[in-house]
Amino acid sequence: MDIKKIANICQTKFEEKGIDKVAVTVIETSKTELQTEYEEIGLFRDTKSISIDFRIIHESKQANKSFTFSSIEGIDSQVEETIMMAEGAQADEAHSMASNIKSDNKYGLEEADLDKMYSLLKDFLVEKKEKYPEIKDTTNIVFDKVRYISTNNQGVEHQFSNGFYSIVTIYTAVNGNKSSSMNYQFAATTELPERVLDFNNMEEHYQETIEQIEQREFTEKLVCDVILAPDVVGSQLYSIYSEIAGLNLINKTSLFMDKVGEKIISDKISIKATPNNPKLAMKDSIGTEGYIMEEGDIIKDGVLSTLFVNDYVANKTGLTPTRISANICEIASGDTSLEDMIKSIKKGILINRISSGAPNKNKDFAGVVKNSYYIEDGKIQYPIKEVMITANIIEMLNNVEAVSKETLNSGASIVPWIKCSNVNIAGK
Amino acid sequence: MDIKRLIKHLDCYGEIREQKNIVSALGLSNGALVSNSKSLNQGFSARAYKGKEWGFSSTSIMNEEEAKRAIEKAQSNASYLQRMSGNSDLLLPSRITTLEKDLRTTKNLKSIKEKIEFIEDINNRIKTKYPELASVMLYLSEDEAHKEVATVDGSYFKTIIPRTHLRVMMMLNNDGQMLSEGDVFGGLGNFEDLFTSPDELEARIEEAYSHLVNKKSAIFAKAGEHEVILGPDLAGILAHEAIGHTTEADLVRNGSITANLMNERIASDMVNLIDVPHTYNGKLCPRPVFVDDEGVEPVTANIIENGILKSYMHNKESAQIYGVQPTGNARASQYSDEPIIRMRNTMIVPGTSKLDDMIKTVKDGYYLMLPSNGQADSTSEFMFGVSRGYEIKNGKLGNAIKETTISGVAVELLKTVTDISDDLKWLGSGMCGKKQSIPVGMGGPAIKCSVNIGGK
Repeated sequence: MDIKKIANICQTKFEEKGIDKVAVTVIETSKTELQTEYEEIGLFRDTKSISIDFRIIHESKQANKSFTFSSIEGIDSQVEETIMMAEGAQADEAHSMASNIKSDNKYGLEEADLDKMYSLLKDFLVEKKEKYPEIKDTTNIVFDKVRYISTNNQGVEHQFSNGFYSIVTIYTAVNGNKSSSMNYQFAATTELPERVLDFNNMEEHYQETIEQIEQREFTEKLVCDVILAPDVVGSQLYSIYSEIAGLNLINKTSLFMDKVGEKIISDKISIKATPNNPKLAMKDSIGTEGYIMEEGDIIKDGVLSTLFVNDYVANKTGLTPTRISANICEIASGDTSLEDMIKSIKKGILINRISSGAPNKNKDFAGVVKNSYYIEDGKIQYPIKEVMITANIIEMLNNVEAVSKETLNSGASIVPWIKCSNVNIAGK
Repeated sequence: MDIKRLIKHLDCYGEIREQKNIVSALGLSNGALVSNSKSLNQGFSARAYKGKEWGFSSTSIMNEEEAKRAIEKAQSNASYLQRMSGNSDLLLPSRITTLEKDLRTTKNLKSIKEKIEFIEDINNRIKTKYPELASVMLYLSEDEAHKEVATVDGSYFKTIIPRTHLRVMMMLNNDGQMLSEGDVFGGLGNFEDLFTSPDELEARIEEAYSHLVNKKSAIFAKAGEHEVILGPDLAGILAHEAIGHTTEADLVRNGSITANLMNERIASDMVNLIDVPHTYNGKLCPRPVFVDDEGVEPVTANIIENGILKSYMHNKESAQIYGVQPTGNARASQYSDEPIIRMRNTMIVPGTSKLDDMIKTVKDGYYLMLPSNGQADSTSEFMFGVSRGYEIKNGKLGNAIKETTISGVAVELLKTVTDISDDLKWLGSGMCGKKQSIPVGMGGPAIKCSVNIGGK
């Protein structure tokens, strides 16, 4: 099915109804997935779909409708319903749509190499069974292909395609009646590894998880140094990003609305939006309003460089629109090796994962550290269990002492390890 | 499409499914309509079982030709894996059934405009009554799951299940610190059945507002182990996250803590924990499952009976491996998803005590009322955010506490349960995110137990 033709048909149907502004995106996706379960490759799944997104603004009233495409005849009722949704809405002059922009971007791979996916998983199962029999896992290799065309009646036309693999493993280690915490790894790539165990430190993670069968209780209460692994750093920063976007700006409930140009976290942290980063398998080329997303600093040396302001937010607040988001981003690596970071800690914790409540509005949070280790005298001592962290994310990110040279590439971001001081840790 | 006829094209055990998920959302932020969206995700899928391997294929194009292509592809995907593995075919257990159930409203449907006016009315009432609020957000979400399934072993069902929820969130600026509180209304059914007048919401909004005001003088909970009353919402999330997931048979096979605890004591003898398919005490649960997506007539999984672990939750494959009957827990989120073992409506069974009397028995502890979120491990180690809670001093409620976190190991915590209230509250707006995001019900009474609280 020609997705450009479908987009044109949809545009024509709205044009015939005299709708002011119409954006139509037609997305073709396919997925090929192999999944291991209980030491066998137990699922081969493929999916194909075409979906359509409408965004219309008529007499300053907006509606969004998305649906899976089945036939040209089925489009009429979706057009009618979208118009009806807009008619029922409030008029809001802030709604807007991009105009006169065109782009054509092709990234990644065209199709899955099924036999390679299968042989990689098969070899992985054999090797894992022999070397790490304690590991119980479900592991998937997935190939995703997406192709879309996004048009509007204001002169916008974007074409985009991307194809990449992702490897996901959810695992625990079991020995007799004892088991570790569950853990998981996910990363996307355009290049399948030679061994699954080579991919994003997976073998190291399995070895650590086996060690974690023998987690020890930790009874001390400390205010100490911690090292946050990349996954933890990413989730902590996510709560900062929410403060510089959307309704927090419109409602003036953002903690950082007036802080552009000011230092909000440690000067050791720099974060850059990289929507088409060649090192990352995923892309964020086009924003929801039809603009081309731009590369740019989000935080530079701890100073907030920008807010995430789309046209709607700009029209509501008077802020200048930006074409920046943190969907695909890179946090600058530092000059300290992870090994030296560990060596520098007298007493502290290497935090590989936090199971935490959502931070409150002021970014206070408490959580249980998981898959984590006690460090003493510069050495990792033992895996710990039932240890809580209580902190304020902003304070913690202001107390950064070092950033690692090493980084982890998840396919959507590149993130280092970060050492922070003065964090409250409490054993049982 | 006639799926009863199409199923005959499958040459091995399997299922075919036609599914439609409709989700609509209206969001009002300080009176401005910031979300007005609707999505329709529909398509056809087939799953085939050969050897010990599943082949699955789906398409969004809804015609017979595409359906047959998906069936053939599912078979060839299963054949590919079987050819590689050399496994022989297995016979899966079944409990066949035929059913049609449509829970949609019989009332006239409201227009988008009427629904927007309804939430605007609520917004205006809140703004007028509580002018000091910094922000009011209302989010009305409706979802409808239409499923039609036929299986090779002879089951057929067609169900339509609607759910509607209205989330109300209020924020207050307390000397530069933003405090938030809210409530969720609605449940199983359409808007027209659940929301007849804004008047009906006022009492609970007022209650949420009073909790918000109490937070202005909230204190930090003392860190450490404390005697607490966990409110029904927290008991429900404990049942789902910390015990439920560890007793899903696929996670048991992958080494969850309950793998070695069958018929062992994992809770005090007053604790009974069940996963209910659709009806409890004569009332429909928040997410009824009348037939699972493998065509199995579901039964209640009696997971904990009088403190003893008695059952896991099964699909056909795990039931075959464990030598038991399937419980009907196989569900798929969207047409393009394969069925996997999922909870339905997981709850701790109510006891006989009154909540007020239970609070009176606590000398120095906390009444923890609402979770903000929750996570648990295959070891049953859990962490839940607590967004609403109070001190209990000498049997009386005291100061509100700041948002905190509780943690522990569920199979240990449940052994400390000393009292259970006689009421049941469902948290019906829950979504569970195990591989695929799917609606679930979780519920419970209040329970008195000992738990580790985070704090300063």
